[in-house]
Amino acid sequence: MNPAKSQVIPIKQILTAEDWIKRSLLVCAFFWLVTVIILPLYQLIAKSFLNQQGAWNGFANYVQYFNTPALSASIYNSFQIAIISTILAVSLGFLFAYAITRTAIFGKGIFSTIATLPIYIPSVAQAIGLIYLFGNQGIITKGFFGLLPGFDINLYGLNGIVIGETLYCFPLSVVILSTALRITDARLYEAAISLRTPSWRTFLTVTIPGVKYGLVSAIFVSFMQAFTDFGVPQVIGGNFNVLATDVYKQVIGQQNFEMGATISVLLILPTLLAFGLNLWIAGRQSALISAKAVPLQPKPNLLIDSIFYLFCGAITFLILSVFGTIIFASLVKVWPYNLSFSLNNYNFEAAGGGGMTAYWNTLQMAAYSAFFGIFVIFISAYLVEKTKGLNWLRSLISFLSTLPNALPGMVLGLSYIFFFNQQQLTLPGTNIIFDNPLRGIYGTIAILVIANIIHYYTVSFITASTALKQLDPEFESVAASMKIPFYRTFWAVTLPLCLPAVLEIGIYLFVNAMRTVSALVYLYPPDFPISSVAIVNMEDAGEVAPAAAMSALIVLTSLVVKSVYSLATISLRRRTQAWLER
Amino acid sequence: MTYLQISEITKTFGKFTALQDISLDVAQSEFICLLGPSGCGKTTLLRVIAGLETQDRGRIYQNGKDITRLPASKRDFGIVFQSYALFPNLTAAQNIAFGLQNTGLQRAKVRDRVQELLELVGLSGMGQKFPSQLSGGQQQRVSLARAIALSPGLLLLDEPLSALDAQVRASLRQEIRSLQKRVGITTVMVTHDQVEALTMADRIVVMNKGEIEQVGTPIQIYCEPETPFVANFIGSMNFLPASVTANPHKFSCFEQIFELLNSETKSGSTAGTQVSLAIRPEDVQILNPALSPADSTNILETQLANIEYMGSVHRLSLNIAGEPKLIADLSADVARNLELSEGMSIKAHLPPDSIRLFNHS
Repeated sequence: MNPAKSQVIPIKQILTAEDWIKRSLLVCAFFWLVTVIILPLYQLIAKSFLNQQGAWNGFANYVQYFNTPALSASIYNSFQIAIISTILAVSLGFLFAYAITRTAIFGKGIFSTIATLPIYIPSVAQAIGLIYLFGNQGIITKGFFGLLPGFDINLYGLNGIVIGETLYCFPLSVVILSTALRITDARLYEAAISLRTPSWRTFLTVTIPGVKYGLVSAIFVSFMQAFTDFGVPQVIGGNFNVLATDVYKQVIGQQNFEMGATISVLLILPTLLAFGLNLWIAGRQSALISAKAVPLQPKPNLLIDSIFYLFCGAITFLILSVFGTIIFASLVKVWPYNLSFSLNNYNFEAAGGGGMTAYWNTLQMAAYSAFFGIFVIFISAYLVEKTKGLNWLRSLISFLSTLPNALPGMVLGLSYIFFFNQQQLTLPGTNIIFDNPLRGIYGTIAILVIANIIHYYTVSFITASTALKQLDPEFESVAASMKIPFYRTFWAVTLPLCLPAVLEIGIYLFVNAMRTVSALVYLYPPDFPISSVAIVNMEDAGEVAPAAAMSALIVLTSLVVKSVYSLATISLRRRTQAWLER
Repeated sequence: MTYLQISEITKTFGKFTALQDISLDVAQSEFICLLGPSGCGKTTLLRVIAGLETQDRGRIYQNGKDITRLPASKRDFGIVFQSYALFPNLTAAQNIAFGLQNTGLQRAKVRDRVQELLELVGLSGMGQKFPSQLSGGQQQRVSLARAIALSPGLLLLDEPLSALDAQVRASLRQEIRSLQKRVGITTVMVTHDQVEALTMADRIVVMNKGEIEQVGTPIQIYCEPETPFVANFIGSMNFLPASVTANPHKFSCFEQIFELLNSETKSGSTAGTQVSLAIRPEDVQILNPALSPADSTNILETQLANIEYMGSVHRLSLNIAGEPKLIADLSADVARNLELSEGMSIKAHLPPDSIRLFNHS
């Protein structure tokens, strides 16, 4: 090649007004993510190197932390909880997912619906259900109100937290693993049979490698959830401290924000590591199954099917009994002494925490989170997937969009205090100080909505970009050849085709905003109580029955909203998805 | 008159060179096929013409205007993809109307134009159907109607028939060609199917490894291939090793003397230089063993190794000195008269005017 020629600068196309609009929007998306993720995180990390007077302190906070056995024991505790719960949740989840995808048992639909029920239950509510089952006055502990010999599992502490976290991680594990197990090619199994491979070998050489990445992903997700969860250990942890509850105690109990920041950093180090590992492993994944795969039809096997049926029955019974106990306990007069029916617990006047106001506030907040979340997330996913050029910026935005998955709610909430409640900000590395322009949203519903959207950003973003990737990339080419502005194609084609994914994101954000505690516990304004935090506060004050009532209210609301939403959107779906019918 | 002028286009993807110094002139109303194996750069060239990819170097002029740096939305073309790329949530009529509605045309006029286009592609009355309710061939017709709806100056077709059944493909081939002639639109089509290229194109551009091997009419491409690649890629071709003799029209091949018409070696080739003699299987003549030939020029002694029955023709695999060297296609009646049996000795005659010569580079 002629060296003079090869140095010629490659030709670039002229940028049109549309290109400039899209590029400006991409830049906006980037600054939005930096403002709500990176800057708060920076403030949090910086805070961990300051003393309480705000002066540079080096690693003194960390040294102090590790020299205080009462604090540093939590690291071990958190790992212990996370590892045990992950092993339990993933192995049970795998068996359950296997049962509903690869066996011929009856009632798969019901089983999988019930298995994912805990997704709608706040983890604090889960813990309250466990108190009523296994606590001091629990049904099991007291032997069904004295009818049977009692059995005490020593709920408060390690046992309780592990059960709670397992229940919390189990549905996620089932969802991830059943998706992985469902995607397979029946011909692989037919080939194995024709080669007379024993079924245990087929399992090890075909089934397990096929779901390898699903397993890895389930393990990481479960570990991060169990490691960082606040609700369960807060309610039934007793004297068993974990990192997430330590952050809360330092910040809310002792007003020691710097130590809170220090523990938060210790909390995110393992999750960031897990996040990086997961990214690395997922990057090595290649599509194993082609589009021409033949779906697997499980064959009946009486013995195996019976075993799996009993297993699924037992698991769903456990989930339902926790859920049922919450409802039951909320509907009786005085547990366990007077079990007559009463709605008194739903009259929150007597209990603290905000009562019905909190409930209405939560509904409002969840609705805003879903609405604005869809708007921001879908548009930024669209820009990342369907814009040409600026590849580095688009990769950066999609990286920043997956980062929130590694940020526990506790850390997110705390970092928001440090960033949004700061009077003045210093430009990093300089002495330039300026007034914080975003301070206005602190103490308003807006910060709660932003925290929710970011807390649940990753899954929503991936849902959106997966849906967008499935559209023919030539739609944009054809539209360009017809000189149609991109927003018209977006409105007339892209959005209608992605409507199912958009609705899914809305539901996901709504349900999670209804049930989450961790990010919001620091952020809710005093005059704007919300129900998930009310559950924690009521339980803390010994008002367990109203806490159960509030939990029941949240779960029922989420279930009702989801059903109404699906029913109400049937006609909408029918109109925009008519093309799917033949 | 040149409508589209492509000048020294080079395009690389990382270390891979997709297009290397491509130059091509397309005349007004001409139908050009870019033909080549997968990975030869033909689709990249089409996308560069559309502005969907940007070349590293080189310029493009359409209708006398330099469009090198214009994005796709500022160029003047309609495009049809192999995947149809019909908007699945819009009906056939809505798909066709999509671009028209944006031009400020009155509603009634848009409707009339859509009707006209549906008739043009033979789908009148099907406008209210969604793409998923149409067959592959019908979807591709809608896609075609949509592409020409705005009456663009240039029509680009990216393997438009490759996803269709053989029969639909054959009929749509003709329809596209006659529609193109009627409308008179300059057309560039990408295909890997030589039959499509031969039947549809005014001129074929054969591409290989990012470069143009030959540009010519279908007859030129088939009958006068300029490179062994073209000879082999379009139709089948026998290549026989030969060497130059003192006479520039005579060659030595398997110890026989071969005569060629209208073919000469590169100037300066000396006796003994290795070359290839190329002949199409249908041009090989099998001599009746009962008759003895007039002279022994251009005749090879072969053994019949295998007969492949292909319907209208019989394909003979012939061995020379035990090695499979020659393929001959005989029409069914000729083959019947020869009473062929595997293993028999056969004299093959290679007519002087059917042999092409390829120099070893």
